[in-house]
Amino acid sequence: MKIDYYAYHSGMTKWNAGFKVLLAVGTLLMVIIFNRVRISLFAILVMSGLTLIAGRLPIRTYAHYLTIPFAFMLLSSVMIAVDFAGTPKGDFNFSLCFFYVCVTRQGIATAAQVLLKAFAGMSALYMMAFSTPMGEFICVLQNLHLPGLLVELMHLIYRYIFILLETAERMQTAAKVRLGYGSLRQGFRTFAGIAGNLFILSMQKAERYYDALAARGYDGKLEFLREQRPVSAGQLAGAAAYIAAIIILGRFTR
Amino acid sequence: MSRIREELLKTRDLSFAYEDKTVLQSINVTIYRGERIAVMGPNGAGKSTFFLNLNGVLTPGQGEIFLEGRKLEKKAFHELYKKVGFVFQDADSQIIASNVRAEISFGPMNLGLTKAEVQRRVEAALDYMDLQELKDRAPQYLSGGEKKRVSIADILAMESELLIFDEPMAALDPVNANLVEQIIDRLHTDGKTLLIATHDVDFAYRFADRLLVFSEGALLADGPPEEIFQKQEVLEKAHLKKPAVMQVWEALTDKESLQTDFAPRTIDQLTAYLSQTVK
Repeated sequence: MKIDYYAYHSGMTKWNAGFKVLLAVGTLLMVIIFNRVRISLFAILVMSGLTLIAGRLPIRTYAHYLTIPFAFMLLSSVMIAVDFAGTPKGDFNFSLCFFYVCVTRQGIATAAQVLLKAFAGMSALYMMAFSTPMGEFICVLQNLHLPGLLVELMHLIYRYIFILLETAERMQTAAKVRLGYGSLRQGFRTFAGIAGNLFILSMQKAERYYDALAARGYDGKLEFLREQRPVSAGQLAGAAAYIAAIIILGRFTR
Repeated sequence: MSRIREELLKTRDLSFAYEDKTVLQSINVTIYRGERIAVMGPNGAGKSTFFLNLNGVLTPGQGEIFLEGRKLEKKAFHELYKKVGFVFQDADSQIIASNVRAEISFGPMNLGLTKAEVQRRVEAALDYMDLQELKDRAPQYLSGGEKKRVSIADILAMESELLIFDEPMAALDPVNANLVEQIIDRLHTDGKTLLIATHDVDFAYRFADRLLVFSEGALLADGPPEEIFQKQEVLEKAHLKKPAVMQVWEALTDKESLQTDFAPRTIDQLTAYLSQTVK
């Protein structure tokens, strides 16, 4: 949820949302297609640079949000690099009583490649997530002709998630001051009570929300004024240079 | 008061029932252009239902609605939102978009205006409510008072003539309540017709030039506040108190036999009068 906050306060919030989405998805595709370490590294450099410098995201925050996916990526790459066998068949072998843990040079290279690829993809997605408010992201999907019903649902769900969270938080506090979480048993009971109440409350409020929509002339089509944010020449040139650099790195160097 | 009173909206024998529970019983009200009307009465007396009927969200079971003297066809009732704006009590139940500017544009977009016109109205509403700095902000990062201002801007952008506020000061801190009151005064000066539900008798007394009192789905009283607040049986039935300024004034006029053709509506008027006359 905090990511949402950063998206609204990023230095890149005002950039064209479609441009950012395209850049992120493009990076992801190129990293996968070329599948080369140097391209992954380059993409990580550029995408993180954008997030940190253009987006002005504090580096500690960025590192914090990268820790969890990075831990997963690291674990899975270790599994790629390592093999278990009855005989010492790797380049490096560790004997563990009945079997060997084998690591081959080839395995390490593949693991590093996968790790960097995943990391590059992650940095591209973070660039987008930390700079694009949900509302604008939904508008991009709308421009891609996603069915109207889905788009409207996304708008409404996004808005009401925050109200739901706020209400849940208040209920939780109210339960806490009455020792609702005193023991594990009580905790479970309180949780069940809050979940049930939230559901009933949502049903009641839905009616009010519908009235409020109708009061402003809602007739089954949710439409807002959309922000016009043209892509600047500088941004366009930057993107072109970035893509050109990736292609050169991928095709013309060994 | 020589100005001709122009009729804006009129209800005749308007009744409404939720399934078999009658909520409104033959309400007859005529609202004139430029009026400042306070609507009072306990919760559940039918105020909100009345508003939703005026705004076209709910369709009355029986009764007629006249807009500017013309009787409306029943199927035209839902078009009332174009003339009657409704600011809900809880701003959160009104706000749906993911940023302030988009939020304010929702009403005008539904009016089927051109994009340029929507843009003009959104800008005007942002200026009017002093929200320019917050226009890209998401509603979840606004304070209660800011949300309230956004919910008012929502309706202003629709440029309705009659504005309904459901307890606009509820749940606001004094600073923001004061701000909302100033906005309401400004709207009156700018020629809007205002219909405001409130439980605050002091506010009603200083703000309104007409009072509607609801009780159990019926219109109990309709008239100038200074008259209605004198009717003991109305106050009792609707569980209302006399405004503090009125009580003080009555106590003074009893004992000191001050002149009675003037009656202060606000604390400021009262203190100004006292400092002039009482030595």
